[in-house]
Amino acid sequence: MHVIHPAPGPLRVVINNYPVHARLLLPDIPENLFTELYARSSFSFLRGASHPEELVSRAAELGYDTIALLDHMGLYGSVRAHFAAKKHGLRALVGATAEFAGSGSPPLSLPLLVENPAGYKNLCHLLTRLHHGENLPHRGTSLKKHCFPVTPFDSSGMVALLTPESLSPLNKNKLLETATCLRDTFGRNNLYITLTRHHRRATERINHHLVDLADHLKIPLLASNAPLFARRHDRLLADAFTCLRHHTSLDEAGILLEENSERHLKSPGQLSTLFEDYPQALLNSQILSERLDFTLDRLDYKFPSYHENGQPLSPGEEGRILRELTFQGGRERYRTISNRIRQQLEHELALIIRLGFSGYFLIVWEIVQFARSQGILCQGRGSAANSAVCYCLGITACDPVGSGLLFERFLSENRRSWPDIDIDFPSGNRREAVIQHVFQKYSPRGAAMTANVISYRPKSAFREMCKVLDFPVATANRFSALFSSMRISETPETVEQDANSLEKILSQSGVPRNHPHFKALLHLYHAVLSFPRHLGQHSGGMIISDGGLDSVVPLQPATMANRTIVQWDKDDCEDLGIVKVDLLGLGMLAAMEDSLRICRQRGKNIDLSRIPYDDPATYDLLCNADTIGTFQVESRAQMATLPVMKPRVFYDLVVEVALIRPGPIVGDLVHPYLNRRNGREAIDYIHPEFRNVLDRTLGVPLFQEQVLRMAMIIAGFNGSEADELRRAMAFKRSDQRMRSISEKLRSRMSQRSIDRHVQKRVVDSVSSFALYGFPESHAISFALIAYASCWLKVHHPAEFFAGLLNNQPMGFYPVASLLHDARRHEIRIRPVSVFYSCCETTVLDDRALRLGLQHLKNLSVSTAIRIVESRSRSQFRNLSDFLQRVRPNKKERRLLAAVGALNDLNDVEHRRDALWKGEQIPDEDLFECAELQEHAPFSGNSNPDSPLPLSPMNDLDRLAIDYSSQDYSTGPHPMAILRREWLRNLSSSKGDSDNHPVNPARHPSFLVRACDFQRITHGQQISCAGLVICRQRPSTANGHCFISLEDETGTANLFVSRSIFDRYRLVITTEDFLLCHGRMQIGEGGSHTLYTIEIEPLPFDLGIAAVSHDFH
Amino acid sequence: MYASFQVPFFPLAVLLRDTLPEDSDPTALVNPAANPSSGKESSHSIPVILAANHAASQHQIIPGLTATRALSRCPQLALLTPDPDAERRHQDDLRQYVSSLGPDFEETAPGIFILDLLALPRSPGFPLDWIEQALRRAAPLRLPLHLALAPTPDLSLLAGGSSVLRYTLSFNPEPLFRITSQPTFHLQHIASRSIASLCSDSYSLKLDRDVLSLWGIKTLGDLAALPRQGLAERLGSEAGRAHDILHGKQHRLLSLYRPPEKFSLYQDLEYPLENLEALLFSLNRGLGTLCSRLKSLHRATSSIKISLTFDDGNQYQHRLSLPEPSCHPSSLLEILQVHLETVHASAPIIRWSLHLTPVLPGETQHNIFGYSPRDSHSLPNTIAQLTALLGPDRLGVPLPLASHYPDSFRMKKPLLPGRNPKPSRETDADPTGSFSPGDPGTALPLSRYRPPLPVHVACNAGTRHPSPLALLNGPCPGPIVALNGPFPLSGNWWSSDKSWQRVEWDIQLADKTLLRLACHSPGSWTLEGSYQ
Repeated sequence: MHVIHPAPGPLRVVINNYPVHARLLLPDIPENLFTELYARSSFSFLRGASHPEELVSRAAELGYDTIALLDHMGLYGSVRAHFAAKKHGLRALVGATAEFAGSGSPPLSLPLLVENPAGYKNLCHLLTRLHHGENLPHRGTSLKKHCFPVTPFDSSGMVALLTPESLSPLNKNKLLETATCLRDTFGRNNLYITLTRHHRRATERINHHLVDLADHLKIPLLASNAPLFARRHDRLLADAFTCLRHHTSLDEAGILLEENSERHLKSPGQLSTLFEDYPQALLNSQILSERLDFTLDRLDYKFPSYHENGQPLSPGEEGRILRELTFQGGRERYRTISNRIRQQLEHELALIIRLGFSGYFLIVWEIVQFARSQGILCQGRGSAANSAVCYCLGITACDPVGSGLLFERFLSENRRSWPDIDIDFPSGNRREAVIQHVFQKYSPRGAAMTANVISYRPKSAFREMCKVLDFPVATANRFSALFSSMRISETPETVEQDANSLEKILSQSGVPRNHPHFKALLHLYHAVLSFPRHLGQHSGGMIISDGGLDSVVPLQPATMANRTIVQWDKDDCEDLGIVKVDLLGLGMLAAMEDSLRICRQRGKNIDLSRIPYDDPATYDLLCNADTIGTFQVESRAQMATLPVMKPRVFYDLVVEVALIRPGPIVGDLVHPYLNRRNGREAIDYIHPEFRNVLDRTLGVPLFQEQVLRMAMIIAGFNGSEADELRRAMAFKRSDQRMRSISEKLRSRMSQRSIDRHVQKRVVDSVSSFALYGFPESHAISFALIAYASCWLKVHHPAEFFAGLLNNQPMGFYPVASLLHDARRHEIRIRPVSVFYSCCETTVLDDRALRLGLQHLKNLSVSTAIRIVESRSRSQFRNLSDFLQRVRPNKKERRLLAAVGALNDLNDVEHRRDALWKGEQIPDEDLFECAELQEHAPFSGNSNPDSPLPLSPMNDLDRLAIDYSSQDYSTGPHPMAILRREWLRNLSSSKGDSDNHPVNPARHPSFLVRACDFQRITHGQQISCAGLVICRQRPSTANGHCFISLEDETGTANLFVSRSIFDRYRLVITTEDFLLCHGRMQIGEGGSHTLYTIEIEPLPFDLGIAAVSHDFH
Repeated sequence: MYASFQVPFFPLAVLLRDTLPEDSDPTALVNPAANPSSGKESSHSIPVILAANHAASQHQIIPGLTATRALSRCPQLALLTPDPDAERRHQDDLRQYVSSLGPDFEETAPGIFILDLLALPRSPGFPLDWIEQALRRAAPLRLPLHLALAPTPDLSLLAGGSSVLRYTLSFNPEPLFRITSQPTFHLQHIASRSIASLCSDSYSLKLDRDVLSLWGIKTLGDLAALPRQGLAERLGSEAGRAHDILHGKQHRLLSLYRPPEKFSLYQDLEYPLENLEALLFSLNRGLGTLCSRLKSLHRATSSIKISLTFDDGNQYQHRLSLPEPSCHPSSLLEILQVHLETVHASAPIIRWSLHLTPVLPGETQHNIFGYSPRDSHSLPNTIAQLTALLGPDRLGVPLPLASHYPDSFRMKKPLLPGRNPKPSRETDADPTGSFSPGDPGTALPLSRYRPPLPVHVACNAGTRHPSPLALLNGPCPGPIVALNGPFPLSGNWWSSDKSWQRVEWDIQLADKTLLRLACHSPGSWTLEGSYQ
């Protein structure tokens, strides 16, 4: 038995920074002599239950001056811990818990602390290699090889901790072997045996053994509480994570769970008391923490250099080349370089060279050059469009000098963080080609994508916690369905405000308040929200380093083949000053590239950079809101605004793109702008000094640049403060930054005696941008693409729609809606045919398209290619010939026959004829049968003269099959068929209707069609029916819902108020076709919207499942 | 000639048995969300409408619709889930009813029977008189019933779905009979029925309905009109068989229902028995008979149910579960004897009855190194004796639970050697020196007090966990001279009705006694055990 106050053992002396060995007696150990060196955060996925910031904040509260976060297999949380520690005046030591896989034995879990920059580099290398699976030991290897990578690694600069959790199960013999092996690898002074005390009865036995081991091997002891969470009550979440990690539930987990709540971050005083019988272990934690001299302040990251002929260039050479390329490009862009342009270029170049960014610009230029050389369309966006140098280098497409854009928004000496350049590429394979080019150019391990930390959002949080508490999956499904249509906050800060709504949803999901697990579910749900779930990859952010990126940050393979990611997200990288390039994918660019290619193939060479930006026909299209399929201006809200906005010049389009955004909408800026533009409201500049800044947007701050300039003018913000404001506006992690900067802004304005009313309006403008508003340059870049897409739709509609169809899914509308829109533009759509179709949709002439084989769901690419290749050799003679040469499998054969793709074969009469004939040849006999019949005419039926037993499909059959196999039909619109069938049903039951008078609101003849909306007067009661193509309930709409119904004549817009939505929620969210009753509202610009009062499903079911764009 | 008896939408009809069709609200049956075998919900189970009543079908509630969508179409729709127990009961009633009409019938599916009319006597009014009589006899069941005649069993089922061919019994609320002379069965009468009616469980046909749907084959008439050879060439022999069924060319044999054998015996005694010996003598004869029956069918029994009726009108019933199936009369009698010795009768016995539960005999092949009892028949007897001594549910194998809750275990029913699970190795001492998660933390064995002994403890309440200073009462009161702890333990925090927490201490008293002490809440202490 362990007695209350054991007598300490004999003494030995502390020598400098070297650890104190066992059996030490210290005469006067100061109180609170302890540093926690083995904490794990939420970034030890499914292990730690507190954010790094929480751990650091708690450590500061408890009086620590240093803390080490050793997350599992990574440095994921180190940046956040580092900056949180700086904020609290602590040192956040760096390290990780590396896990070495064993062959046939449990893995070795080894916490590693970084002592110096070399150790950091070695740890990054080691983690990168472990993530890449380089430590897999071979069979029959010795323990030494068993514990560590087969290939030796450099352990210098690292300190290893052998903890009771390093080996599981803990085995005396194995422990001795492992400790010996670790001592030999890391050195006697770089290995510590760690004691923990979590008030478990079994701990003392283990600790006694560990102490004996330390004595035996002369390895120093270290005390730690190995915390997994900051506070005692966080244990609940830790238990839940344990269940998720082991794929079990709390009821089943048993001894996998913590037996008490002692694994929280304890104060140095508590640990000193706990380990007063092992003072040397306490003292060692302090000595070791002082010895560890590395924090992320010493991160050795350098901007990449531009390489020429495989050799890095000096900064001077980089500057010289950048200047040459800039002026060369400038001459191409501007023809003649005016003084104003020259001055701007010189100003920018001077700053770029002074800040050492020349190499970075050249690297981006090289990427753009590569894309161009491969014929890949690309365009820079974001703040890079403010730079004339970027424009001259061909990185961006809008002229910042001509547009009066502020270069300092992109780059300035006062900025504390470095800018990144975003480039849009056509999404899909073409962007992947560029990404792979970058990976190859900087291989091995010189480039990687930034990570994207996937956090628990309400639905995933609820689903996972349901698993933990053993609720049925249906409960989570119901919650997800209900959550989608209800407005509940997603952030932990505000979620409590919605407690009642949440409890209501829980109750409706099948977890009533009196359920024994109700409280636990509610607690865990709230607790886990915003916790990191796993690491994904950023949509396009790439980091490049010519000195080996794996020396800067550990890399790990991404889920996608041939990609690696760093362990930090883009915000972490930005915080550390790591420059990234965003290679983003834009579906519209891919569609436009396809359209241009088809134009070229048809002899029309179009250069998008030379299209006229004053084309009246294009602006007419915009004014008429005929923008389905175009870029950025195709949404319902955009289409509702365009007739009011009536854009006639390019800058109108820039404003249009920026106006319909969450920022301006919530900031209530849309109506003031439109009113002022249409002369219904006087222009107000908020403050006289803002006239120059807000002149172009009629006194309404629409762009980030304007907000920044306003802050500089009215509050005297300098460049650095303006940059802080910019970051706060773009920072989505927390609104803490926003509150802080708003306060600063308000205080500065007060100091300058600015009127309170003006102060409020300025602060409101800033706050609305926190919900995301565009920088002007970004809006211009997007408006360029939007204009080009509209121009293509006006002047080359066939090629435009072909490009769109070939790059689905993308945009706002399903294929069916695009096809109906194409038809409204007098383009005929030919169905898929094995006789004529290519893999992609092709243009037959200016007014006709042939749909491609790729639109058929479940037709393999290889079969589609075989069809096209076989046909290129010689056209198919008949069905037999087709089956022989293409050899589609049974499902594909049925698919092709059912959608009518075989109808053009000369012995096929109709779809069912092809189905009947094509069904007869069994797969295994196909080849032999084909050989036998090669010289004989094919007869699908046993008796060619017998009549075909199957009748042709009717419209309804064709529609159902087309929608199930392609999500669209080239035949009549479903509503046209439905209307006809509905009428037929009514007439067949005429006898009944004679007794019951027909309700006009429910009679197909009286329903108003979409094309008739224009002739309905304001306030008139009408009913309409249609296929739902869009249901939207944006967070900015106070719970109201917007529905777009499509019929054979066009699209009708519906407004459903919150109360009506709540009443008909199930009907709205589950039915494909709706019958709506309400009164017409004619809005500004003549937009006709049905204010819906009653909604019901149609009394006739076509049995088709249509695709709609819902709640996005 | 065959007669089919079908209760339309049997599971729903059972639930709506006492509801008037006209007055009933829209009601639909949805698939059960829970998997009865596991008690857990199937991960992919989405509630789907299985059947709907007339009121619901007026709102386009059709089978296959998801429950959510059905509710959107008819918010007042009542959703019911099947009641298997009620279905079983009514199925038994139906079986009894059909068996009263004729001996040779098939229990095709729940609520569906086919009766072979060949063996029935034909009166001049046959079949109408017989049909009327049959339907009238079904009225007490209060379930709607369709009766149809056809030349083959399968066609009789299909005929039951045809409003032209069937005779019906419905309720409103009084029984309504539709018994008029119907035309002789012809394919055209069932031609408009959906192809789905041929794909139900009753036919065990696997038709490729997707292909048939693509072909536009929606009704039985469409299918029957296809050329048989062409159909079989394309969709295989099953499609050919379906074609044959429709044309009456497939005449299968009924799977005749036969009642299960019962292993019950009773005896009304000529004179009351007053002692056990006489009763055992009588029971021995009964067991001998029942065991002979079991043996003749290669069965054994897993339990014995004994009922005794006393002279004063009281009754005594008891079921004895056997650890291993047996059909040895002597063993069974010994077990009965052990049990009956514990029974005190209030009056002489005038009647006894025995019921044995038939099961397959246990077949355990003992391997050469395996442990087996010397006399496998004596163990059940021993277990019976222990059960009689200790009481029911107090004998078994304690299995420790994987839980931090101290001394948690569950009892597993006693089984014969070879069937007991291997004891958990978690708490076994590992010669290699492993520290397992369930490590007791001390090498000293703990003798647990069951139940723990409540004690009063003087403690120092200044700390988070009150530190004990002395035991004030209990078996060994006195000051605590040394202690180890605290060891806080808690669990089931997620369950409001099962959460627990405690703090344990290992204490040493002045007389060197080592005890385990637990504090459950302030002032509530128990002695958990003593270290040996």
